[in-house]
Amino acid sequence: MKNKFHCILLVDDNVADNRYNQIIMEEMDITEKVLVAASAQEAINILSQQETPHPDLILLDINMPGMNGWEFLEAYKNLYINEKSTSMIVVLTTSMNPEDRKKAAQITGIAAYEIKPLTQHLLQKMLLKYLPGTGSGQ
Amino acid sequence: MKPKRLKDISITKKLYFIVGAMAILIVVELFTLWFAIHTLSSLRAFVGAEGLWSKAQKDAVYHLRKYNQTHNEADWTDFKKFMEVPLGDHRTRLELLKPAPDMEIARQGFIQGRVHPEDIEGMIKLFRRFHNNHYISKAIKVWTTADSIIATLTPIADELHTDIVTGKSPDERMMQLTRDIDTINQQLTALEDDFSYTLGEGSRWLENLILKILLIVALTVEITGLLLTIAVTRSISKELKAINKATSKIAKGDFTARVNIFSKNEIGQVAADVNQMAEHLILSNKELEQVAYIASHDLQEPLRTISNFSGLFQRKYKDKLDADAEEYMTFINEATARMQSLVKDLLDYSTLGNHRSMITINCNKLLMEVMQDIDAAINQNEAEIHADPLPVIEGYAELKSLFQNLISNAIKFRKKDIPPVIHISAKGDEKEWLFSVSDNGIGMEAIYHERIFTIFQKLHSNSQYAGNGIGLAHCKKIVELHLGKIWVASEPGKGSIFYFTLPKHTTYEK
Repeated sequence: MKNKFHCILLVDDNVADNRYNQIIMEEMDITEKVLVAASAQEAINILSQQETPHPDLILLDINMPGMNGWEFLEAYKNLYINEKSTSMIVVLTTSMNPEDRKKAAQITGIAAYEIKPLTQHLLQKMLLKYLPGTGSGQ
Repeated sequence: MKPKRLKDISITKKLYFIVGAMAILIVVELFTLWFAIHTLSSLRAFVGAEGLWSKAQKDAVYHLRKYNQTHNEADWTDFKKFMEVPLGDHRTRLELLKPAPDMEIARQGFIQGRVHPEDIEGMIKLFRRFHNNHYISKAIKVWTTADSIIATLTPIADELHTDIVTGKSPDERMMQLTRDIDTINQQLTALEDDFSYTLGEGSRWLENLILKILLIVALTVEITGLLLTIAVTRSISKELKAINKATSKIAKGDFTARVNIFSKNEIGQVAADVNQMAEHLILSNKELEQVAYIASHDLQEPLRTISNFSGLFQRKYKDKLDADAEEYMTFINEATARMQSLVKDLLDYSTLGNHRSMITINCNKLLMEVMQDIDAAINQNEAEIHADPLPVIEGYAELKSLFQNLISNAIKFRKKDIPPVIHISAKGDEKEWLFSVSDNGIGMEAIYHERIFTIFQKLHSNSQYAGNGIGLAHCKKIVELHLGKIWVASEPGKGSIFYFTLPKHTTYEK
């Protein structure tokens, strides 16, 4: 049985980026389900709903209007105060600003900091990280 | 108004104060000197007057004795005449002892005593001011005694005169009178000596005192001047040192350096201004960086979307595209890629030198590193790189990029059939280092010698030579970061020599 994610949550205000990421994932067949949130608030709403499964992977953009990526992480922490979250959060951003990279490194819960665009290679890397000992050629 | 602290007072004022204080002390010195000379001169005049007194007294006694012998009325007249001198002085002494003396009477008395008119005022002042001084009062006592003794001469002389005139001059009486006159003369001689010696002693004492005073005042002037100057110099020096320390750090690129401010005077003001300038530098750098990052981010986003989806498009509809469509897509993709590259280069260019810090660079080692980094290009082109011994200099780390760009260009713009030969050298004078990077490549015409340093300027199309045309603009910016200049000497087909200067930095000795 092929290893893949059960559910990936995309958090990005850019419609084109979300669509592109979706297409890439479909081409790779790397996840069963893709959830798309066009804003951080929408993502929180989706995650708050009881029926929503915990996504394995959350791809999070930083620069979004309204609630930005950093604020999302604060709200996300409050959601999972009582039970530990098993989601792997990866920051996927355009910002090459070293300040942002530093800031991400200091927050526990962020597994990686990647620059757009999302590629097959990156997704493969994340899958390996999430389910270690799986993936082709291991 | 709050009283100012001492160190906040303007330095100019302090310096003027020192000059003023010295001037005042020197005036005090000069006044002391003038007073001393004037007083000693008056003492000299008194001694002179005593001499006139003694001479007149001796002459009087001489003529009295002569009269005694000759009975000549002329001698008696002479005796009277000479007696006028001590009498005149006597009158002056009595007048000057009064609480409110009549100066005219005192003057006339001295004139009668044959004192030179120009000395009189000084002598009167000396008598009035210092009659309580040990020596002066002693001399006055002697004078007083002499006056009373010479007064006894007058009745004796008168008796003699009367006797001679009337013819009654018994020998006994005459001999007695003569003996009395001699006794008086002897007494007066002793007193005259005493008067002179006393004034002499007084003179020497005064001389000694004045010299001591002059010495003390002179020392005071010197020491005061020195101490004040040292104090002001030290505070100026301390403040300037603090400014120097911070400004040399700032000049080398560390804008976080701040000056310690010790006062609110002119220098303190400069220090405060320097701190403000450094603050502005940090802020404007931050702003520049932020703008650059935001601009590149905002520009990159749509570029990325185009790139992503045109790539997807080509992949997904590969079978459905004809040759024309393929060509159009290729143009789109290449243009997009180029623009992404340009935006990134622009970001790099605009943030170049934002975090500069001056370090010691061994150019020989630097060259080795560069050659390692572009090792592939060197081997591919069979390039030869020679270098003269290069100096160790103070510069910014960006210098490595400068060397890399120049050498990469020299390799890139080679003649097709001739492997690139590159030579690097440097020579320095006391002002600056002059580096040169020469090659045997394709060269360029004179009209392009300045244009090539402009950003995004290329002399060839992308199909001929790859690249965005940013390398030399980078080099220029790096050289200008060092406050140097860069230029090229080149002819088509004859290679190029790129020159750049790096000014040397002077640090003043502590």
